[in-house]
This record gives sequence, C-alpha cells and structure tokens, in this order.
Amino acid sequence: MRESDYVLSLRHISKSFPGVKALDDVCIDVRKGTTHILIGENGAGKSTLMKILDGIYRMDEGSILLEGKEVKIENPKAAFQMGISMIHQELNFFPDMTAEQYFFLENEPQKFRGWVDWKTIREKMTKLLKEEGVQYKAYTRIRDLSVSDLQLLEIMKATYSGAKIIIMDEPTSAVSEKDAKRLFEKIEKLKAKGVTVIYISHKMDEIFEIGDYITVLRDGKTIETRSTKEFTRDEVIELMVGRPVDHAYPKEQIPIGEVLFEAKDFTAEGKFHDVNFHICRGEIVGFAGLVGAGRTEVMRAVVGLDSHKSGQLIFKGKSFQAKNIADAGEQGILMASEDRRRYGCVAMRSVQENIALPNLKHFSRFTFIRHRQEGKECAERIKELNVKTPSLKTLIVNLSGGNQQKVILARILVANPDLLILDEPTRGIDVGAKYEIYKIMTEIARHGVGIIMVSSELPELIGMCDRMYVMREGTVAGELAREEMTQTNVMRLAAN
Amino acid sequence: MKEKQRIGSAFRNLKERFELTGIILILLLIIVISTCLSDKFLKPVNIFNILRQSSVTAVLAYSETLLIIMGCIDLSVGSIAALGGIFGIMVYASTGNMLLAVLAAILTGGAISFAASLFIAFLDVPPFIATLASNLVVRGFVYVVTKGQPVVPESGFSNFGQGTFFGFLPYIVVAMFIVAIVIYIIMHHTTHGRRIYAVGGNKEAANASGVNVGRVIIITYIISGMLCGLAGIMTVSRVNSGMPTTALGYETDAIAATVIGGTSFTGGVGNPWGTVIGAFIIGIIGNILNLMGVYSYVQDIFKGLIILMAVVIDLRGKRRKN
Repeated sequence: MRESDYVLSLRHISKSFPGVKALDDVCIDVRKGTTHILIGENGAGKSTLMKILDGIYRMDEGSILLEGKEVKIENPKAAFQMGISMIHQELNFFPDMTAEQYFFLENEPQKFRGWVDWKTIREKMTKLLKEEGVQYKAYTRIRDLSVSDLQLLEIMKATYSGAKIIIMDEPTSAVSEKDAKRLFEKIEKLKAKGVTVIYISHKMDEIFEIGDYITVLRDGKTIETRSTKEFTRDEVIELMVGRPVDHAYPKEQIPIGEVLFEAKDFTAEGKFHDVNFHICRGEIVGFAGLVGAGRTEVMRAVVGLDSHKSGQLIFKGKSFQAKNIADAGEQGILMASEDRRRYGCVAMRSVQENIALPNLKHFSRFTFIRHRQEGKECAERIKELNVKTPSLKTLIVNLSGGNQQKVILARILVANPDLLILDEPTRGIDVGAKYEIYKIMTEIARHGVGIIMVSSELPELIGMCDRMYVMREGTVAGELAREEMTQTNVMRLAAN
Repeated sequence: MKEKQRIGSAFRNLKERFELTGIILILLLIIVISTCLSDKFLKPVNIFNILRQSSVTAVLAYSETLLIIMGCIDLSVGSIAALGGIFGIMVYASTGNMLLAVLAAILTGGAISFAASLFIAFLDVPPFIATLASNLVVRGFVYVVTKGQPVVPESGFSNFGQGTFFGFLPYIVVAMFIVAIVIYIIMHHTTHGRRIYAVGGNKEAANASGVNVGRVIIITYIISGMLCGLAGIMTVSRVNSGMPTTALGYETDAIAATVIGGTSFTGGVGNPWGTVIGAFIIGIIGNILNLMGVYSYVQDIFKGLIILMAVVIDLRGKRRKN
C-alpha cells in the first residue's frame, strides 16, 4: 500500500497530563474511504487522541499527516477547515436553536458582511432535509430532535462543508437499534463518497458489522491494528483488557425464591398501560424493548419518581405504593438511573459523600453525621466492589464511567434493598468494568434480592437474565424464559 | 535542606486540609501591602475596627454562601437586614430587652426568607428573579415602616453593636465567629449540610437519591434569612440608628466575599471558612482606602477592581491545580 492511500497517519503521538501518560507513542494509519474502529477500555486514551485530532488538546510529541502532508491542528475550527469533523457523544449543546440556525452556525450565507440571509438558509436546509428523507422541518428546535436525528444533522453538516474524516464517539450509546441501523446505512453512503469514518465504540456486535479496520488501544498505547476479517471477538476483548477473558457474561444459576414483587394492570396515562409482571427473590429479570417503549417510565412510576393512574403493585405480599423515591427506598425498592451523570452522581462531591447521599439517615444520629462509621462502611463497600479510586475523598467526576457506576452500586448495597431496579447499568462503560458489574449483580441476587435489569443491549440481557419481559408501545408485549431468549424472538416482540 | 523539606510538606498538608491556600496568600499579600501603605494599619485599634466592620459583611456572606453552594442566591440580604434591624429597634423600644430585640430581628429575617423560598421551591421561580423582586418589596416595607426617616433607638440599644468583652473584644465580632462555627458544623457535620451540597451539585441526582429538594431549599433560606436579621441588628446597633437605607447594597459585598472565598457559582462547591477570609479581604480593602484618605466614591472603583483581581488569581490557582 502506498503512502498516499492513507488519508490520515498518526505518527508517534505522546501526550501527558500531570501524573499520567495518556498517550504513549501512538501510531495509526487510516485508509481513505474506510470505517476505522478505535476500541479500548475507558482510560485507554481514545478520547484524548480524538481531542488532539479535533484540536482541543495539543500533543507533546509526534506528528499528524493528513493526505501525506504534515499538519498542525491548533483548534477545533482549524480541524474543521482541514476536513476533520467530530460527532460528539453529547450533541444537545444549543437546545433552543432551530435546525437551520445550528446547521449554518459560523457558516451563514450572507447578503453582505454580517447580514444573514435567512431566506437562502431556509431554502437550502429544506432541500437538504428532503434529500435526506427526514421528517422534521428546517425550523424545528434542536431540543425537539431525537439523538438519532441530531447525529444525522451533524453528519450532514460535516459533509456539507466537505469533511474528509468524520470522527464518531460512541454514536449508538443512546439510540435504538432501528436508529443505529439508519446510522450504519449513512456510514456506508459516506464511505461510498470517499469519506473516512473513525468510529469509537464499546459494542462488539456493531464494530464487526461496520468496521473495516480495528485498532485496539490500551493504557495509551496502540496494541494492534488489523482488518476486521483478521480479528475474532475474543481476540479484540483480550487485547483490550490485556488478559484472556473466559466468558463475557458470568451467569450463574441461583435458586429462585418466592414471588417478591408483582405489578397488575399498572397504568399511567400517555406513558404505559396494563403492565403486568412479577419478580422472584434471587431472580434477574430483564426488560427489553425499543427506546420509547415505556420501560424507564414504568420503573420511575414504581419507585414514585413519576405518578401512575391505576393498577396494583404487590411487594413482599402486601400492597405497595411509594409516595416518593425516599419512601420506596425505605420500603426496600431502589433504582439506579440510566443517566448516571444526570440522576446518579453529584459530580463535584467526593466518592464518600456520593455513597452516603441516599443513606444519610443510616450514617447519622440526630442529624449529626457519624463520619467515622461512614468512612468505614464506605471503605468496605469500595473494597468489596473493587472501585478504583485514589481515596474516598476523591471527587467522583475524576473516576471513569465504570467506577462511577460501581460507586452507585455501592450506595445501593449500603441501603440493603429487597428489589433493585437497574436501568441501563452498563451504558457507556468498558468491557472489563461491565464484566465486574455483571458479577456484582450475581452476588446481589445470591442474597435473595430481586433484580430488574432494563437494557437496550440485547446480548447482555440474554446473557444475564433468568427471564425477560419485552415491552412495546407502553405495554408488555411478551415474556420469554431463558431458553427462549434469542435476538429474533425479542425483536419479533419488540418491533411491530 | 531537610528543614526546608519539612516546612514544604507541612505546607502541603495545610493546603490539602483547607484547600484555601490561594485565598490565604491573597489575604496575607493585602495585609503586607496595607502595612506598607499606612503605619496606622497594624495598630490594634484599627485591627479591631476592621474586624467590627467585617463582621456584618461576614454574617451576610455566610447567608449568601449557604445559598450559592445550594445553587441559589439572594439579592435581598441587605433589605432583609434593614427590616430586621428596624423591627429590632422597635421591639427594644417597647420592651427594653436587647435579647428580645435580637430575636425579633432574627425571626423577622427568617420569616421573610421563608416567604420568598416558597416561590423558589414550589413555583420554580429562579432564585435570582424571586429575590430581585422580594428585594424591592422588603426595601419598600422598610421605607413605609420608617416613613423614610431615621428611627432613633432608645438609649442602651447600641451596647450590642459597640460594646466589648474585657474592653477590647467587640460583641459583634464574637457573634460573627460563633455564627461561623455554627455554619461550619451545619455544613460539615449534619445531614442538612450534605443535602445542601448535593442539591447545589446536582438537583436531579439529589432528588433521585431521596433528598426532599424543596424542603432543603426552604430550610436553607430560613437559616439564611435569620442570618440576615442578625446582621441587620448588628449593623443598626453599631451605628445606633435605624436609617431607611441601612445595609443598602450590602448584597454586593456579601456575594463578593463568598466568591473570593472560593464558593463556586455553579453550586455544590464551597467552604464557609473561605467566606470568612473573603469578608476580611473586603473589610481590609475598605479600611486601607479610608486610611489613605481615598474619596469614598473612588473607593468603590478600587474595590471593584481589586475584587476582580482576587477572583482571577484564585481561579488561575485552581486551574493550575487541575
């Protein structure tokens, strides 16, 4: 292969932050018109590398060759002008702008200098949206667009301004399977036009579906780059975590006890209706379904975060009704939210305070906090769950996603619930940490706790659950026993 | 060499313990500069004068600190202080009991803030707007109650604001330090303090963790209002006069002291001890400008610029640490 076939070459890139070497002699060659997957555990250096490409960070050493020529990327605008566009994980930067305002931001057609030509903008945007075959209008506000629509808008924006390389940072972490399919089709179209896609992901299934080349990063070093055909899943995982992995899912058969929780005709108008399900002690029950099927809404209503209209809940043989989430917790039902950053962590507070927050009654006497008892119990939980943190006083924002999630689980363990609701417990965390979370779930179930696991990743539901409910359009569409759980069975129930 | 290392590590310990070194250094720097500028500065009389002047700012600043840590703010602290102080004068006039007067001021403040907090907690009015409005309402009441004229207290009223323990330690300075300790205990040793940090850091996560966010907001505003009432009676007793313009614009100093003290406007981060130091810094700046005979209108210009500088230095220090 000739040098000029590489659209992008990263040569011996190193970058240090105080106390850590984030990137160490990273070398990657990316071929034109391919999908190049970048995979690695959190902290492996993927984001740092991408931020260097996007001009947010400067590298300490090394060089970047764009189409054979060495370039200096000073800032995101320079990157954009060179044809490097980044699709971030969080896209909702300007919720109140309209699609067209955002699309032409910093690139507005002007009648004369400083005078925006809104008429041309409307015409161009309407035409572009029509070509793309999307439903919303040029004047739709960003806040009213789905994540998937926004991603597509970003990609359109990048190609409109002539992007050669589009970097996508875990684009499918918050979209449904259907929307993921739409994204993959778009990527194929981009490739056909000679655009190169650098794709960061944790999901094994999709990287083998869309990737042409895979580069594995670990501890800031490039471990290996091969074409996808020359890799197996197990090889990728082993290279990522740096040790052989026996099974992706540490499922154990735990004796299942009596019925712990039951919902009968549970209904909240406009959100879900006539939902029936039950959970036994020691059982892990999955809730599958497309995004918007009402799974999270049901769980929020169970713990009293949202209200419901009718139906009956039975918990430990008695009628159950949570006035609010604190009440649900006291009665023994706890929930860990899908959106860890929004509903889980208080970012700028310490690990210890985050563990203690829902358990303040447990850790206090006459409203005075018993610091010593708190420290001792938190330290025990941290050790038990193998949370990697320099100390209990470390701000939670400085931990990786997987470790943050473990802190959330630690706070739940302190409360000692009977029923645990985990909404997307492994979203955005790496393979190694996922494996540990599954093991923690198994341990919790072993103590007779019932676990509801809501997830959009079918493989993990199939891997971990004893039983599964599939939701569609606000109600339970079907129930699957462990031996009936296959991707096809689930999708048949989930999609209409 | 070894000695130097030991001092270095002791310094680092201090730094980790207080996370306030940047602000302490600024305080020391301002003290050194002030000492050079005026030989009167370090005289004990002047030091106590500064402490006395800073104590009102400091108490109002604690009130602001609690709220800003909680992700809220109060633009009406000066007005609440004024109304509290003037009610205090009236209660003293009818009862002759200073303790009752102080309690009246504190309760008045608490009641006003409680009313304002209902709008914030239940009707989701942004704190900035709610207290911008309540500031007008409360100051209006002050003018109505005083009919725009200074209220002259009965004799003996000024004992609280002007009197001292052992002939040198002003009562109001002691009051300020007691309040500082109480606030520290609330913030670091009670569940309510934890909840304040959690609500300020991430309201939605706090709610999902079972924290009754509305209740935390209301209780904290009540505490804040009580502090304003106390600051009010401290100031009217010190000047021995209930001017309708009492504590006018004091919210600026209170917020400045809080911010200089390292409390983050994004909420969830802050330390009451930083606020004490912030209040001293503001007090010293005012004092040295007075000593140097700077025209009072020009003082405001200097004060504003120095506050900006202090915050920039503190921010840079924090950024380097990260």
